[in-house]
Amino acid sequence: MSRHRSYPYSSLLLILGVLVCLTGFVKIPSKTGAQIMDEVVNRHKAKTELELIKLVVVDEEGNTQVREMISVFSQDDKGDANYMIRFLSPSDVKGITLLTKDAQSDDPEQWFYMPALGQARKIMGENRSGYFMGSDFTFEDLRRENVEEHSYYRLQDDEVNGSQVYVVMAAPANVDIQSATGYANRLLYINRDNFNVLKVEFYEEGKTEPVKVLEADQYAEVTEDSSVDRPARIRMNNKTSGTYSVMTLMKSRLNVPVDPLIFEPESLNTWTPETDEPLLEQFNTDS
Amino acid sequence: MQRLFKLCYNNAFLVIAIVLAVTGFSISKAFDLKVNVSTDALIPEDSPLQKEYQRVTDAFGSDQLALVYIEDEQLFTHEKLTLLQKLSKELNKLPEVERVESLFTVNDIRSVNGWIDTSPLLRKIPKSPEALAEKKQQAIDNPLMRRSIISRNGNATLITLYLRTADGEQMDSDKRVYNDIQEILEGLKAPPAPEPTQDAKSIEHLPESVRIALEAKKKAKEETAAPTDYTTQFTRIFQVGSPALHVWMADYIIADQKILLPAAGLILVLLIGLMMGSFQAAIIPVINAIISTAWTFGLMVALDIPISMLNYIVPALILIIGATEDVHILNEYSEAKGEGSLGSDAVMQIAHRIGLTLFLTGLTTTLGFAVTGLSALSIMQEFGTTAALGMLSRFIISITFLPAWLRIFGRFIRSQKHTANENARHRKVTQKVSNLLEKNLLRNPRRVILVFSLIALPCLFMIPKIRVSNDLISFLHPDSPIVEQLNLVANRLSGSKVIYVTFYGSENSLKKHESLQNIEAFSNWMREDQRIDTVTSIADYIALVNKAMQGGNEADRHVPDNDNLISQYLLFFHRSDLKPYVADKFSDANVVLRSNISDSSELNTLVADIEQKLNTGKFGDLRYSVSGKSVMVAAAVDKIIGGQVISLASMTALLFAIVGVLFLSTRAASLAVLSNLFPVVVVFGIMALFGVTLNVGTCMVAAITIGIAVDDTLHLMVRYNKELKILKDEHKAILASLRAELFPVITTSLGLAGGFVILGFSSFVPVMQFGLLSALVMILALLSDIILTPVLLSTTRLITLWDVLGFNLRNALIERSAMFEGLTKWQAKKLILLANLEERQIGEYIVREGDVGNSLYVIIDGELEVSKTIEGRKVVITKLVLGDIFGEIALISDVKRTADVTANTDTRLLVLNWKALENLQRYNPFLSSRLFLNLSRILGQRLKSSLERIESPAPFPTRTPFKNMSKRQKPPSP
Repeated sequence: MSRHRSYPYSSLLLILGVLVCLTGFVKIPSKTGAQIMDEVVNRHKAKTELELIKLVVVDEEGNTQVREMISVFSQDDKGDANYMIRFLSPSDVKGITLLTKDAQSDDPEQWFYMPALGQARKIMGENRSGYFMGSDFTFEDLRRENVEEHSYYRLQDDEVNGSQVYVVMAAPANVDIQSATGYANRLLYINRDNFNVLKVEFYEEGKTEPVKVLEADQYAEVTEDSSVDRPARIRMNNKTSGTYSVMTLMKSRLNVPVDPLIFEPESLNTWTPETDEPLLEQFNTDS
Repeated sequence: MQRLFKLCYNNAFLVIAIVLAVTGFSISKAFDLKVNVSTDALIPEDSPLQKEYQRVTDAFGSDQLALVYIEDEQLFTHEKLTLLQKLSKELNKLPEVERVESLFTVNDIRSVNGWIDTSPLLRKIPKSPEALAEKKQQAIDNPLMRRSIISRNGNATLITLYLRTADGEQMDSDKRVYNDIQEILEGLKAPPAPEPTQDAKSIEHLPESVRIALEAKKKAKEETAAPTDYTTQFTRIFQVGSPALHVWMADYIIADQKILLPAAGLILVLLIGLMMGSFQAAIIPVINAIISTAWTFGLMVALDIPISMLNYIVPALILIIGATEDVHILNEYSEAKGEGSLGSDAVMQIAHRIGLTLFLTGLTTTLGFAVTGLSALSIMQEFGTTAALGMLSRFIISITFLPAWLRIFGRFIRSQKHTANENARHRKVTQKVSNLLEKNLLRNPRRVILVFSLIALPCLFMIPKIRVSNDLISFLHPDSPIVEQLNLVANRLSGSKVIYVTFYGSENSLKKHESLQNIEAFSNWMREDQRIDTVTSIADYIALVNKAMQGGNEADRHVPDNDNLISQYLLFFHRSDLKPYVADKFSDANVVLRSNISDSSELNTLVADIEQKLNTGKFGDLRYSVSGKSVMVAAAVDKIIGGQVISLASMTALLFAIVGVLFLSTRAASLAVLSNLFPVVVVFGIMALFGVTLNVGTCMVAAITIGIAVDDTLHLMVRYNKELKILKDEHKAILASLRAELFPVITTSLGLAGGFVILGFSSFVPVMQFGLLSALVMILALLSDIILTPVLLSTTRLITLWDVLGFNLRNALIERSAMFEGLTKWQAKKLILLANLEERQIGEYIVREGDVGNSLYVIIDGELEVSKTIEGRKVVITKLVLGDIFGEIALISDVKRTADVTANTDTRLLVLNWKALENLQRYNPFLSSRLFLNLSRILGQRLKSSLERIESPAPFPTRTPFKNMSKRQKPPSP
């Protein structure tokens, strides 16, 4: 359920939100924004998700930096979610790990581990709008979307690359969220046929043009585990700096068992390159 | 020349029509003329420095900055910062802008709740005053922002625009950038029509409340998209940087050209008009200058040459040299008329009298300036070409348009004879000066030369003290608002000059702690240098992350010793954040220095200091380079001086060659050059004395000086050459040439000096200095030409004799006379030049028997008789003719004259005295040994003949037909 990998596809938006209270009094002729998002989330749902990702950061000159990372997500029945992202290459950054525990009942907790520093550090508070590891993705781009934090409005339908799409605007639901997020609102372009998110535009306060645009393509079923679609490529274009970052899904497993130990902060301090081997093995085993 | 003059005179209307048509066409083209005062033109193309610069800027981005300075006591309020952010974004959208550094873009590396946040300080603008105050403090505390982005007190900020390398003309791009920025600041730039975004579309499915909210939002967006006049929103807001400076400079230059040039021209017209007593004499140079300038501008457009900091002086150059020539022409015309020539005859007379001079001055000035163009600097190439074209146009117009003009308007020019009043004044001035020369100066040449030497020598010693500097800022008046703004920005924040110090290693070597710590040490050393405002390198970024990761202690702000840790720290940055400081693959690193040094020599010193320090190996042994546009420009200043030296040298060489050929004498050529160098030496000496730097403006003075001095000298020398041939006496010839040339020379020199003084009122410092120095040069050149040149010439026996003898006579003499036996033609000439010419009339005694004498005589014309009084009766011993020598016995041995020599006809003799021979011995041993050998042979021959004669029955025959004898068998002489 690749939640760490943002809402454009699958995991971003869970159940419907505040919109209900706004729309409750009015007769709606067709699907609302919230209903669309509901469908999006349901169609891409998975209990656990294991991904091998290649992250390519491209600067305005076309110079590239390539990193490989493994991403693990799991969510229990209560809705408490755990994420872990760990760098596999290049060798000098191997082992850098970001761990997030997002319990329904509490604020999310984060730990950061740098092998060269030796000890995991707990990160207090939120850093939604900071850039993730020198890429064009911010932390909030990679976060699971909390539907209570957003209101969804459906706008006029449109077309993206020849596909008919719903257009849904997501805006912060309250002032606290508004001050924490880096965006004023986002526009999601969702394929009407299969509810795959094809494009997301990110707007800042008072801007008429998006500061960033995310494009997701090469949707394909992760057939070995389920019939859920995943985009093989997500590209984040930073309109301000002229740079972009591409995440390519090299391997992916859904709903496979994940060792809960890897989400324990203490385990970070004992990390060795061998620690990742069982995880990597899982890409090759049958479910 | 005469034929051309006649042709133009006869077809006056056609010539004028053609000239005017060409002029009209040129003027129509001249509107396309570009002004380029950018410093690019100072950089030699394809130099290693240029290639290095190209490589560095390709890797690390542009070093060309435009800065927007914003100052406001209430800067850190939500309202002001929001405006500032909007401004920053608008500026970033300009096509010329490569990247923007501002409060909204520069990484603010800090520890946020244990996590490192490297996002820009004001990615979001907080609303609460507390949060804003905190942001302000963070900005001030951030070494990456302090001084480069925020002032120490936090109420002034810079938006720094790194500009793309301009395609095509730098100046066009400077102007565009400047105007674009200005339009944004003043809210004049219409924003691009907002693209219809999704949320602006009809919102059919939304409930009413949402729709209202969205409409309000849409309206708010439209409002923020509307242009804002930022100048009214902040206490102070303005732009500085290279585009602004270049545009201001161009404006200054144009403003000066518009007001001061016409004013200078007017003064010139008035002065010349008054002195010549003729309105026409005054306006013709101006008309000529206008036409020539139009032609030159037209040609510049055709050759794609812009007006630059150097060649904008060319119109003045045309006016100066053109005025001199035209006044000479008109003076001749007026004289010719005075002598009774009319119409085409008078015009032909001009060509006859000064045609050669006109041609020579045209050639010298055109070639002289063209040679200046043989420089690696495009600004020098452009100047050389423009000036040469200007000189050529001026020459062509002088020899075509002017004769045609005289056909129509010549009748209004008063002849010198008819205008008694004017003539009286004219004559009075001329008379006074020539009297002074004749009575005092020419008689005391040593004293005159001493006085000139006393002036020139200290100046000569001062010359090495001239500071070579190209400081654009110093070109502006110190009180000008531009200078005030530049200083304000530099003092409160940092200057706009960027220097890149680049270190070259191998792939990933700049991720290693050793290299980074060396760079850190180098950066810290640079920070201690008062000349540097800010220093930024990759080491600073890593040090800041280290500090944040280790708990925020200032003591931890350094590059750690662990290579892996460094690699892991680097993950906090987006590749583009580090682009200015580290090249792809971490093989090269770039330390960015900002300073406010505008003086090229100061910058050269700084670069030398940096290189010296790096060469010590104290900061590791990585290969390095110091580059940047300003570095290149500073280095190129030497080339400008080189260009000036070439210009001076080539003009001098041409002058030397022309005078040398005219007089067939290197000595005359040397003298002409010497008297021309006098004004140059004095002007440079005075520049050194008053601390005037040699910059792109003032170095033009040398060109002007030489141009005008060469012009005047040539007129004088050509005239002198002619007069010498007629008068055959240096003093008389000098005075005659002076009388003829004095008035036009004085008139134009004073007129031009007056015109140049006007330029001294310019607020553009190089123009001011140029004007005053040029006025000085005019006076110095005048003094040199009417005093020093004549005096120097009078001390020297020029080719007079050589000339006077004439070709055939010379050859016959050298052929026949035993004196010249075995001498080359050049040696024979030397010898002849050592001699004096004496003329004796029929019956005159040349030597008397028994007299003491120390001169030797060679007969060049006439017949003489050698006689002795023997027993009270005169016995004619022999007769002497061309080539024969007498007097050599008394010259060499200390005996009295042995016979009388009288002239049988009017006679001319070459007289050589002992002193001259002594000099020859000292300075030309080869020639003198040959000469003494010849003399010995002659003496030997004489001895032999004497002995033979004593033994013969008739020792004193009446005549010896030695003409048919060989030289060595000549009969004796006294």
